[in-house]
Amino acid sequence: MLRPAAWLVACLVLAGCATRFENYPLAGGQVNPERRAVDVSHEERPLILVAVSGGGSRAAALGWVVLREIAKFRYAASGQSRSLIDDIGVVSSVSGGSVIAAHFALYGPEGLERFAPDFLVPDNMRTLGLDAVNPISWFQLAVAGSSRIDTVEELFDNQLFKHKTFFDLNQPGKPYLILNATDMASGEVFAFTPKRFDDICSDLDKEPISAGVAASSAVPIVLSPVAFQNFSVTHCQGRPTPQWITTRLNGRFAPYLNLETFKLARYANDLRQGENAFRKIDYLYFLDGGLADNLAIHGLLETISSPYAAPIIAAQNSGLSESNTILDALNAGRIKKLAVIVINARADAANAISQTASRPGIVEMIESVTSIPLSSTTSSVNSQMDVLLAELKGAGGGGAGNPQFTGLRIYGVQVDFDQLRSSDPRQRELHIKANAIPTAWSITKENRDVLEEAGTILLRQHPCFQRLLMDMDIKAEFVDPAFAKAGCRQTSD
Amino acid sequence: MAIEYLLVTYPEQRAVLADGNRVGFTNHTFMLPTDEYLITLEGGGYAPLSQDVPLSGTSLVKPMVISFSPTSSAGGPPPTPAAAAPAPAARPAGKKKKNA
Repeated sequence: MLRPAAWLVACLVLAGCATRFENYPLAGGQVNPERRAVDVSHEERPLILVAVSGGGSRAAALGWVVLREIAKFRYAASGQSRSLIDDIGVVSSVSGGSVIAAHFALYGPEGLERFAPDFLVPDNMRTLGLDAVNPISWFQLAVAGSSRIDTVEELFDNQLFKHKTFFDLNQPGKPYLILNATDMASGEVFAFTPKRFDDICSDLDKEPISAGVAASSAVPIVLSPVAFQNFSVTHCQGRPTPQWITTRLNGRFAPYLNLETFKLARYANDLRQGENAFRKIDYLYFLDGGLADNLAIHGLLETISSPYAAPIIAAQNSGLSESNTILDALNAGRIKKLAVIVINARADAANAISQTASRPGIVEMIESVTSIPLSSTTSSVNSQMDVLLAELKGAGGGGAGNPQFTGLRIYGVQVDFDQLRSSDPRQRELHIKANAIPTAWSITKENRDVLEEAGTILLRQHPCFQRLLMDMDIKAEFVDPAFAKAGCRQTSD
Repeated sequence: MAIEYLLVTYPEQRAVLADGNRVGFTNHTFMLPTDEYLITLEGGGYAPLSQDVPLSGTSLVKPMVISFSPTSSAGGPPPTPAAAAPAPAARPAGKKKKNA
């Protein structure tokens, strides 16, 4: 009979052996089609970009609450009533946020009512064979082979995505979805988008949605990574290197002016197995996208302006084409109102480490080394978005050289439990309760109710959401014009 | 992501390309992330053929200004539609690169 330690080793080895690669090669000479486009053809409409953070079912539920709330507000456009939710052009997500993001992108606002009975109400942890919420106890179950990534993927597929693939997501009229995973070897963000799949010469249309959501939410240690092959050499050998990569990698100034984009170009070149590749990448293993950026803001930054940006559809006389980016549309004055809504389901549960005289043990240390770098990286990316929004807002004031973006209005809305007001007894209670909701794939009815109330309050009391409603001439009893103007000042004020 | 401001001057309205992608129009200041770009114009008949632009240190009131000039055998594309082609800024054409 094997001793326990030997069992552990045997299980880990066996788990690592059975690698199932989950992607498909592109047919020779093909690129992944992009059938979606961010519609900027109507200047009177705002463009709304949404990011949904990680946090298991807590994140999925908070994202669901906020999306449902956005859907309630309507305005008159071209003689018709239109909901704000129809102006969501891009949704970027990681981990638990990817469950609701993919569901919304696939089924649209009409599908939101099905999300709760299909995913939030069932006891998914039981389905997965997990009966604990502590990651360390998950680890024990993972070693026993009962919680591998395939099981999670199956759950997403059976309950939500019904064997649909990215072909079903990538259709005209649907929002541009960016499911973000983390490349385990490089630590880079890997987004499930057509252009990124071109880099590895893989056919995104054939990929099950559940595989993308699972890759985005493959919690390390607990779940095994999602495995991909890089088909660049076997199926796309000899293709030319895009100019933006060449310019960045060979430019004299590029690594000094914008190191992030330089690294993006280097990673793309590595994936394409291009000349002078920094890393040789034959296989990819994806873990939770939250490891690289738990707010999924990276995806929004890239989609505003980068070679991985979402295409746009603009009015015929605009001089813009689908190869243009959202930043180009801003430059051309074709977007007058840009709202970025970041839904952060981070729970900051109190712990007793700083009140304990005894040295923390292995459990506390693992929790710290996994959560502290994650928070730090996320904070850094969040700062980049703050800088961008501040600069875009500043640009709205106009300047030298006859800019066409004069008058641009920017609405940065972050939904975060820390914004619940401690001076309000009910909000203070909600804050404590929301922070205590565990990160798991199940959520109790009581906790869903907490998130429903907290999410609604957080969105409604945000000055920039109120300001957006005001500027869209949408009447709502909770809007405080003085608060909204002071808390979300525009350069055109 | 830091934003910079670029103004490309040319006697007529042309689309401006950064690394081969259309990013704005001549004679209108536009925004780009801080970076190094290979700037060209849509169509032909201009000089120089491209300019390598390290874009940084600009501001809304002081964009980087670069200029292209028509060559004698100008054979550019038809002008951009009127709605997207407001009057060019009153800057002389010529090859130069500076902050305005």
